[in-house]
Amino acid sequence: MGSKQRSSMISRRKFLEAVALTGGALGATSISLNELATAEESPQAVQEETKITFCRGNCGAKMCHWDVRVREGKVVAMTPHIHADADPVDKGRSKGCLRGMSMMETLYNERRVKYPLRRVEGTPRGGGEWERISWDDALDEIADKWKGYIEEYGGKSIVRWSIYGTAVVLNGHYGSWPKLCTILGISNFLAGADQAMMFTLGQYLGGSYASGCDGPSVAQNARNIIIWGANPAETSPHEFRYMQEARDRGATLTLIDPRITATSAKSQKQLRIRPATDSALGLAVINYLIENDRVDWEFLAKSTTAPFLVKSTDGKYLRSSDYGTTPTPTGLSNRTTGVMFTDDPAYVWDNAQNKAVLVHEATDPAFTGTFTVEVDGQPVSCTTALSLLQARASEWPLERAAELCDVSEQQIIELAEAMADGPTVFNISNGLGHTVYSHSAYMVAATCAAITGNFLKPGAGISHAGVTTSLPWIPISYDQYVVPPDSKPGPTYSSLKFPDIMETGTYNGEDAPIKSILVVAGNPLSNVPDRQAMLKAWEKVEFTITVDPIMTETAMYSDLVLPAAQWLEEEDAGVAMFTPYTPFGEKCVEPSFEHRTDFDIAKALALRFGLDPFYQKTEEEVTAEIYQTAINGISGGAPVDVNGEPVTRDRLVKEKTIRTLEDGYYDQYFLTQDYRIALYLEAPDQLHDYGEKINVDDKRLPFFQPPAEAWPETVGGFEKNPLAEKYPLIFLTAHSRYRTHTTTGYNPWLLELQNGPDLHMNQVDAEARGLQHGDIVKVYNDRGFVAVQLCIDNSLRPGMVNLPHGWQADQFIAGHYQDLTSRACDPFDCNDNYFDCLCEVEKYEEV
Amino acid sequence: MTRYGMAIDLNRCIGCHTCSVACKMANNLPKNMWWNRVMTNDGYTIDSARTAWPQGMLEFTPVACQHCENPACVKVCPVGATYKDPDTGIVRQDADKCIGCRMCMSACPYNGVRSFNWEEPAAYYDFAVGDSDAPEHQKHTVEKCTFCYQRTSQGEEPACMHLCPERARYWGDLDDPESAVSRAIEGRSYQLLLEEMGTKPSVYYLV
Repeated sequence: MGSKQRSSMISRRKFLEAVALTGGALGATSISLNELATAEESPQAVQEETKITFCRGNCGAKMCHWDVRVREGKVVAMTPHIHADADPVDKGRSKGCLRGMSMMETLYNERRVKYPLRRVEGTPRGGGEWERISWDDALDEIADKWKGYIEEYGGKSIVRWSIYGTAVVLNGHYGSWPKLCTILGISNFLAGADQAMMFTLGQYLGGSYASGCDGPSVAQNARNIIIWGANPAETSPHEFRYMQEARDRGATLTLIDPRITATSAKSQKQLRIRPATDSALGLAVINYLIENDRVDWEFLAKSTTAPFLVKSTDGKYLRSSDYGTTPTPTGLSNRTTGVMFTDDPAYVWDNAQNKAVLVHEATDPAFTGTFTVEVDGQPVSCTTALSLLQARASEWPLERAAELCDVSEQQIIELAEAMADGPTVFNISNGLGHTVYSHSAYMVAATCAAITGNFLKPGAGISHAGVTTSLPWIPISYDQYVVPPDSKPGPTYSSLKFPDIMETGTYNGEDAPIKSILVVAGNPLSNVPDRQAMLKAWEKVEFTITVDPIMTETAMYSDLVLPAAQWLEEEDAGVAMFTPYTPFGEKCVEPSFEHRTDFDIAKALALRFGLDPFYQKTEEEVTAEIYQTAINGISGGAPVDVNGEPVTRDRLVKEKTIRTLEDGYYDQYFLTQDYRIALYLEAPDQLHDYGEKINVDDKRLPFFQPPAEAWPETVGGFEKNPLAEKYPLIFLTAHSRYRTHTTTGYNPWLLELQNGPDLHMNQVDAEARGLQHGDIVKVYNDRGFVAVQLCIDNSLRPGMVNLPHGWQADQFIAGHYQDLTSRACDPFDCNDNYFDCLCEVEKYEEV
Repeated sequence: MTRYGMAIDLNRCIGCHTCSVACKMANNLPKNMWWNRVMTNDGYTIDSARTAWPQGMLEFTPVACQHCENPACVKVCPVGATYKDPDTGIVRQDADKCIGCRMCMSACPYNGVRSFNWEEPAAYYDFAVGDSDAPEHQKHTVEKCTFCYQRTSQGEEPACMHLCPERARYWGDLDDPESAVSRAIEGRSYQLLLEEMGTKPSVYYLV
């Protein structure tokens, strides 16, 4: 760290000149470069400084630390940071990939927003005509307009729109903007991306996405690795390494994916299943495991709700409160749903006593069966959770599932056996969760892991993107940091309903006048489904502002664009942990133009609202305080390092990275009601209420239901979507190694590696349409189209096409891939369902 | 005497291009210049498969100069600009001597590892990136991987070796049985690219 100077700064040209001067023949000189360098005073030596930062690209396995080499005020190179405590040979947990490495290309990108810009009056949004204005003019305009909207319509008429870009405490979508928006009563859009995964696993596992183990635990302990709907070889290369190490040690990698991917070649087995049939596959596995006694009974008894009795009267567990006790809150709650846990023990049927007893009093709990129990003097029929699960799973015998999922019965058996033959880790990310009922895929995955006892031990669990998402520190106050006690944010709106709000002026029965939108740390117009509907809604909003380092597609459509500092231009700390080291980034260079940090911009705006008392501290003081007030998500105590020493900003400034999790780390408890994983959700919650309630009965157990749109064939008794007559192909926009979303999308090095946006299609499908490799094609449905180059790619299952994710409007020949995608969602998870989309492809004729 | 070489474990390589980007950055390579490329084995183009479904596989081979023990390029260079460094075994090129005849490009059996600067090399930024002593790039000269001579001559690893995400790359002195590269090759099956050409490459592909 710190200042570094290479021992020799002599250029090769200089070296050759020097050699020539000494008369040495090139091939035979015995003067080494090092000797030469010592002899020379290196007058042209360039001072180089090394700073540290971490990548905020949100690939899911994120927060890699980088050494940032700075010369003459410019970032000239970024190399993965080798942690001080890392093994000298394999470099331990040090990590990084090409996306993070290209971070400096965002900093110096030709699309960098340099100054505050205002759309030239009279020109259309997206017209690309801008006038440079001063920061004061920009902020005054926002303050004036917002004050007017607040006075006339209330704070809720302004909406903040962020989508997970840059999860840090001061800037990006967690930090300073939420604070200001809370104070002003501004509403926000609920992002739909990844909710199927986050919200479903959150309900099952208690709040962090995973209850699993870290990479090294996978590498050393897992016997089987189930990679389910994920492509970690491309999307999480730094964590996939551990799966490869496990395989090379003797573990078996089983991939479940309709496509052949880079992960396929590295896995011993693959189930190339029919798209979006994962929950049927999982139910068949559950059925097989229970039928064949391949479940972990000890784990079921101790750590699941398998023996809990479910009352037929209300579908809930029979609990102590059914006999008049008042449940007391434990003070803990589900981190995802916010539902408080109570001390209200459940009943099981004890075979030994032949009656229902509190779970801790049973010596021989019945796992299956229906029993009559007296409640309030009335006989109530109660069935165990496991029996209810089994009844559901028994709808999916091997034969039926094999047909529906387009795999063999033997493959299903082998998959089930791989789960039973643990420790087994489930690598589950977001690929599974892009169709309307895909939350059920996460329900079956969690259930499969639970009944095989693959939790709470090394080498097992659900390992999101290859790591557990354990939280050795959670900044408790990041979004409400020192706000007036009576502050109340405005309502939350599901972003999928934005077009409906602008159409009706209402949301969930309430007035919802949206007059202004502030986009921070997101590029929604490029990443949210059904873009044409979104653009139409956007046009109806009076005043739109985007704060971003880059002229994104969303910035292009805004009235005001504010130049945000890029990660390398600001100090910040991460809000969560996908790394065993505390994420901390130094300010590496001064902003290149008129860039300001989100912290500064929000503060400057706040002062225009007379909020001075809440903006007295510097960025450094706030960071230091946030570290001090953070809690340890694992222990509930203070955030400490592996030696028990508190993590502080002072230490980070000095030490740069601090180790907070040991290599062998695995999650050792479920922070859930009853501290167990539920095989049956007695009170399934819904993420958000946009005016449609879930049918609770439907969401208590995993189920199979075909996607709302992307079901082009009649199979297994499920009628095909008639729309498939017109649009027979399933349209995917899968993640590639070059992007997370659009974050690195204009970085020249990465652009050079690709052939631009291209539609991947199987040769069979192409021939049927008279298409050839390299043709310009139009991909379309009733919602819209996109024109791109065709790539014949037989890694695509016939019947599905893929246009890799991460491109923006100006990069397509015409149209946009999000013009095709649909806003259909289920109220359970309000999820963006990018893959629930049908299309047709033909040669593109320019109009 | 040192004989630098490299081993790349193809069982581990996922084709992520991190090595390519590291090379690009460290050597301040101009636009559209790549000294280290990750080839897709079976596709019509990058990241795709040509073999009929479902037999195709997305597999990759990183390819740069093989720093051959018996380099075809050295023999054909009419001006001695291409030479084998006797101290390191690195096949080097003297840009100042290079006359741009491209004989080395046609003689080398490993297509694509060399590039010719038809035009003035175009930088991405108005400042040089990468190593402060990265090679200069000149119009009408041939370029290729130098095994990061500016680094290796000072005992450092080439840029592509710095933290391969999959730990698939090994580096060192092939003549030193204790070097990381020698230990990686020891006991493993490996392939040499176009071995039949008799070039004796110094890059070992572990299979």
